[in-house]
Amino acid sequence: MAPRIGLVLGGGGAKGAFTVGALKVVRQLLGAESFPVISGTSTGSLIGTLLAIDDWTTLVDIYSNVTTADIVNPHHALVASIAGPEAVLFAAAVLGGRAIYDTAALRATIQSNVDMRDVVAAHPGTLLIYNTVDLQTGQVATFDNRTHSARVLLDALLASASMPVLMDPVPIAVDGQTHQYVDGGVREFLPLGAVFASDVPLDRILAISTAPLDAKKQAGSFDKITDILGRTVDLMDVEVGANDYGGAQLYNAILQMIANAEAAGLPKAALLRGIPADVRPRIKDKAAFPITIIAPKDHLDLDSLDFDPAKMRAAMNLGVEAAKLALGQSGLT
Amino acid sequence: MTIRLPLVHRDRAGLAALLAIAACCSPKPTPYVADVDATAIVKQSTSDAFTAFLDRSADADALRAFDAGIAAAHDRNQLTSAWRRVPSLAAKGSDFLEQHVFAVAAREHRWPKDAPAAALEQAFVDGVRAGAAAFLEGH
Repeated sequence: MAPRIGLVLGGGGAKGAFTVGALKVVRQLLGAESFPVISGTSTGSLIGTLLAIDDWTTLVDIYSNVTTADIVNPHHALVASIAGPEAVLFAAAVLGGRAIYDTAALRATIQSNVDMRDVVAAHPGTLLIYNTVDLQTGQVATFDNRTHSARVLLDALLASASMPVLMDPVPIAVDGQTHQYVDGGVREFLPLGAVFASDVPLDRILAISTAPLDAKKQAGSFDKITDILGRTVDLMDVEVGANDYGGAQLYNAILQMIANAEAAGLPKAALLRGIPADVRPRIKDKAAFPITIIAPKDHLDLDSLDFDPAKMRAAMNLGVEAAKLALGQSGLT
Repeated sequence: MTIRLPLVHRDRAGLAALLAIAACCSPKPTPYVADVDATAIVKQSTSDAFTAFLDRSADADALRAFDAGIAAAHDRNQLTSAWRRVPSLAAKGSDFLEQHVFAVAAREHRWPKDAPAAALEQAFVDGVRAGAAAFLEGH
């Protein structure tokens, strides 16, 4: 019987090709074409969507062939072509725009390849969770195919992939209130928390990150404000990803310790003594899962919005190798 | 009376005009539409199965022998027979193609379940050939 795997798919735009490569191996070696729960952020949400409905060949086709123009286009193409995307950032700041790039192409590409009603119908087989950040509350906000309609899920998928400043926030009305939502990677690069919170019975969590969990070393001076900004965002991303994984490991360790203590005959009441009431629900009746992480050894030679088919295919091959290595080291093959 | 706009306002007005022109010139995006049919699905599951379980260098000769053996194949039974005739491939499982290629392909979302049986058998044959070639070429 195939293991029950909770899948966590991190963000990274075009680097999602690495994730697709890793999944080729995961699906075949573990015999797992379906997953009880998939939690995605950004490009991981798009990958999770096609995986949830088992439209695998479409998924590989997209991450092998799309170009940047199929995903985003500068809001002001002429300005961008004359002075580069940085000029659009300046123009947006002066004129009150919300982003450098327009995501109409991404929305159209999603709608042309996925019927979101199929995504809703994929539950209860697969609980698909999109991770976003609510700009108004500042909190991580999740949308899933158990709770939300096809229309809301389409907006949430777009929001989950909308890197702030680069792409427009997406307004979504929930319970009569419209908030703006952006890429969940702002707060959760590797969205493990949603899987723990889902209460779906699992044997293991498999997390696929499109970047190593340490910062890329970059020699040389940063002399342009945009380069410094880019570098800062990269470092913050690394920190968020490392915290996601480190936090999940710690959480898992606590759950395992509770299970060990219970097995040794210690009563549950004694184990929870002194634990604050607001924390108790997060550990009471929860189970620890082994976590396997698949990540590239080195940072990929690919920027998030660099949807270059040749580079994406190279990243896909790296994903294959990384998955074989990680699954072998975890004793799963 | 002449109204003098502060410099920043005049610059903004000029920039706004430029951007308005630029917006008019921006092409409407055309979506990317994946080209997926039964043959493409089998090709993908073949390539994935070989990627996961075979070694591109060590198994190259065996795959070429398999490819030669399916030149005249018309259905899945003939593909499976050809697989079993190559000892190093048969060692990976006599039902390897059924388990890792045919069954996986037939579960996919876009698999044309209602297509005529003969057309599907042809898709299996064409897809396995194309998948084996793609694997050997490193795709």
